[in-house]
Amino acid sequence: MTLSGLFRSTTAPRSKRRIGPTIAGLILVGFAVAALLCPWVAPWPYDQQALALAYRAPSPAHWFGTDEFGRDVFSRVLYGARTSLTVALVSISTSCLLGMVIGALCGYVGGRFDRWTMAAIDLTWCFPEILLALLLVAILGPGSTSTVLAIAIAYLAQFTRLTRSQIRALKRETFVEASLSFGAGPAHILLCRLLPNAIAPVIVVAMLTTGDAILLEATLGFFGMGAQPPTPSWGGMMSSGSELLFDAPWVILWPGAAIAVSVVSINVFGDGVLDALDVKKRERVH
Amino acid sequence: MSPLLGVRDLAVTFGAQRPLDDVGFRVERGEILGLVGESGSGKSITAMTVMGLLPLVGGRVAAGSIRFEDTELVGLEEPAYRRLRGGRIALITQNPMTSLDPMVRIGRQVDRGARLHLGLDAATARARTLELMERMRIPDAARVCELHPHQLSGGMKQRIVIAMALSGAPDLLIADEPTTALDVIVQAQIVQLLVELVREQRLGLVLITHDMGLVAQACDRVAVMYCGRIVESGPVDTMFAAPRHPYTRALTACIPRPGLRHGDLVGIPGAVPSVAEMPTGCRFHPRCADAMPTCRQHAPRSVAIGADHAVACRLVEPAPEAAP
Amino acid sequence: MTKYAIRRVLALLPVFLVVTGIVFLLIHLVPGDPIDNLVRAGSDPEQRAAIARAYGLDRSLVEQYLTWMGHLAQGDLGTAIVQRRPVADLIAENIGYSLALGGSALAFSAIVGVLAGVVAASFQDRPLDRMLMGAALIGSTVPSFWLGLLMILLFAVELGWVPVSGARHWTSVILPAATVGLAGMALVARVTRIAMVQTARADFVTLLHANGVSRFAIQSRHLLRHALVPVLTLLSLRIGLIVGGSVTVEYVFARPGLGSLLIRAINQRDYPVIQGCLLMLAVAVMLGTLIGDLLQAAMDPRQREEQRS
Repeated sequence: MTLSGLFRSTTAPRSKRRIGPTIAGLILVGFAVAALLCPWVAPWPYDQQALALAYRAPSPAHWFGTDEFGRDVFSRVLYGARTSLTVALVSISTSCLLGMVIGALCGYVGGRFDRWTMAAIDLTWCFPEILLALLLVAILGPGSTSTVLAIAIAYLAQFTRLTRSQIRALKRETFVEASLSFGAGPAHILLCRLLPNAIAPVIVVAMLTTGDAILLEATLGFFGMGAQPPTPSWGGMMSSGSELLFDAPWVILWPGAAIAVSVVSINVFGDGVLDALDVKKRERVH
Repeated sequence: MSPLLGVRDLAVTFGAQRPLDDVGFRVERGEILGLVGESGSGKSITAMTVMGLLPLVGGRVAAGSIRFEDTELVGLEEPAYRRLRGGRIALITQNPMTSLDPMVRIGRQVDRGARLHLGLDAATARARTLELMERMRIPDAARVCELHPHQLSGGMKQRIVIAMALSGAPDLLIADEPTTALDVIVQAQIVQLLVELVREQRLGLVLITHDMGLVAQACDRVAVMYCGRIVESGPVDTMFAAPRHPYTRALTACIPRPGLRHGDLVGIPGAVPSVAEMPTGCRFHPRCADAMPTCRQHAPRSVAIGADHAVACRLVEPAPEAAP
Repeated sequence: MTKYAIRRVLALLPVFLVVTGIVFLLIHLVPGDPIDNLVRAGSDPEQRAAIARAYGLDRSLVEQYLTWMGHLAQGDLGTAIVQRRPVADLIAENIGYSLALGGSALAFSAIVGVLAGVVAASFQDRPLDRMLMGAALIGSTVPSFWLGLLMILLFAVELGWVPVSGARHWTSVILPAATVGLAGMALVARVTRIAMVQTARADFVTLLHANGVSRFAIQSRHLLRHALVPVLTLLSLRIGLIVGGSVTVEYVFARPGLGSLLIRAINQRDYPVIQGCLLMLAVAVMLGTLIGDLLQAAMDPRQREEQRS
């Protein structure tokens, strides 16, 4: 036994199932339900103005208080979940799907096609995500569509690289050779043999990235470049609320808390999934 | 006179597990003791225990005694133990590739022992380093001092590791499979160097290995370990000529030798059980061809069966003069 | 080392060309006539013609790019549409604030992050470690602008320790830097901790213990040094995070700087200013990454070799 082997064999066994990921998962389900059912769950319509009721602190009638137009902040946070989560999910699925297609092709075909495509994709590394998103919004103008596109492009390189490296690694495995020797065509190998095996890590990363996407959407919304009023989005609500920081802090505290809780939950849940996958992998080895 | 190192009834626990039980051996000055066993038999843990590094891997000495000359090491205070480590007892690790700090120049790594334990200043310590490296047959020692570990070959690195161990002028060396990671020719050179060192400077050496050939070649005495227990110990010649424990017999049968025909070389059926599922009674009984029902229930005590020869097996009758 | 540095700088050249290319193309990618993106609405034909001539808008894209690069080389980034001043002047006025913020945020995340990581690693798997790592997880995920607003409420409004916003006094940089730095700090702390814990299991560390080196010396002279390499990698990879975070946080704290300038310019569709700001920020990311690479190579002898082969 080597010395480093000693460490591995003697460290305490993995602690019992952690409770964190479960709680995080439940919170995420809660957000999803709120986003789906907000017209029925929300106590008030998101756009019902009542100027006489503006700047009310949280109360039994308005759990999270009211904003500058007297709109119910709680209801708007619920509707905001719909906007923010939709934008994040749509953009990440777009990015992930596109990245998988390009990455799989590059990884499988290789050669000059791979080099040039990857060089083009890698161009996005030149700008940090937020700058890239700002650049795209500058070109396309503000709005939800631009936000989706901006986020999708900002994370494209990551998914492409990941899929590509997965495919390249798998290509060298023996089962591919086995399929080839049975006379399987390239399309069959790519779709039926390689992609299914490459997909798990990509999905996990996609899940974790969804958290970043929510943040990016919120940031753009906060700059007033996301979903345009009166559509409520978490970032947008904070943007209009930032001047009210001193008089009506609840207007920005609650949407911010919603962002924070959802992003932290996604990360905790994603970490839990990673752990679970890791355990499975080890069980398979033995 | 007490031996250089005397280990008696040593037991080590890791939480609820007990990877070492009733371990005893001794090493004299100028003597090479081979500590032999398959991987997982507790050899490395024994090395860590003697070095006082068990807490590092989460283990604890549960019972027994380790005497180094006249000092009891079990329960020794950390500062005193630290002075012994490197100064009186030094460790040579298995993998030279990972045993040197990749970010520190060779010279500085070897100097440290002399500076720490002999109180030498930088220049004198470096002079000693060069001398040690020369003795380890490292060509161009002054230049090698300025290199980083990744610029050296495996054999060279193992020489450096030995030079490091010698830097604090220790009396006892514990070499944990010092040649396993090296190719055969380099292996022979390194072993040759170690043997010379022991003879010249009258050091004690515990040579931990799974290679019976190496034991036959280099050691004076052997202790065979199985599942955290010493099953047989004695002088090399006796042990190879007349092994008494079934496990030792099986091990010696595994050594390839001239005149062997195809199919003569047999392994030992089964595998070393893991620490978590240790068999009751004699720990070798599930793999033992001569196991009796009693072996399942009672752990055999170690009995002396001749001059300096002890076995822990029910099959073996104690020599008449050693009988109680 | 010098050779390595030169190679790294040369490798950046194509990236720089691409970045300038994208920034240059901005005005052509925006729907509509590029001239409309460069002049105020309602400018008379003469002004339009002058702009078209200055930018060579009647010639091919390649020629236009070369002209633009020529201007750039002379420090001419065009004229802001709204403020009617040279973009270069606007940037010069604001860049100091951004550098101060970015620099202190970087220092904050590096120093506090490494300290937190080292402490967590020495108390591995004990309550203090769990607490620090939990805080790090939250710190790396909470949106920085929200955190910034919370900190304003607490430290500036409730406690009155620091100014609410602006950049008149040096204390005004504390909150924004902490806000930007917190996300980086959390990552640095996690990476430092993992690197320390993993390196502690390496054979050479066991051997250091076996040579009688004290625990403290092992941690401070060996483990920390090893942990700093991935930390540097992280920081140089995440320089974009710092730059991006600064953009957001400047806006939150109403601090002057390139970020505020950029956001305002985007909302006003002031394209020459957008171009200038994006270019400067992208260059900042590039230089940050370069410095990170060089520091890393200076620290780890293996790095330089691997790159060579």
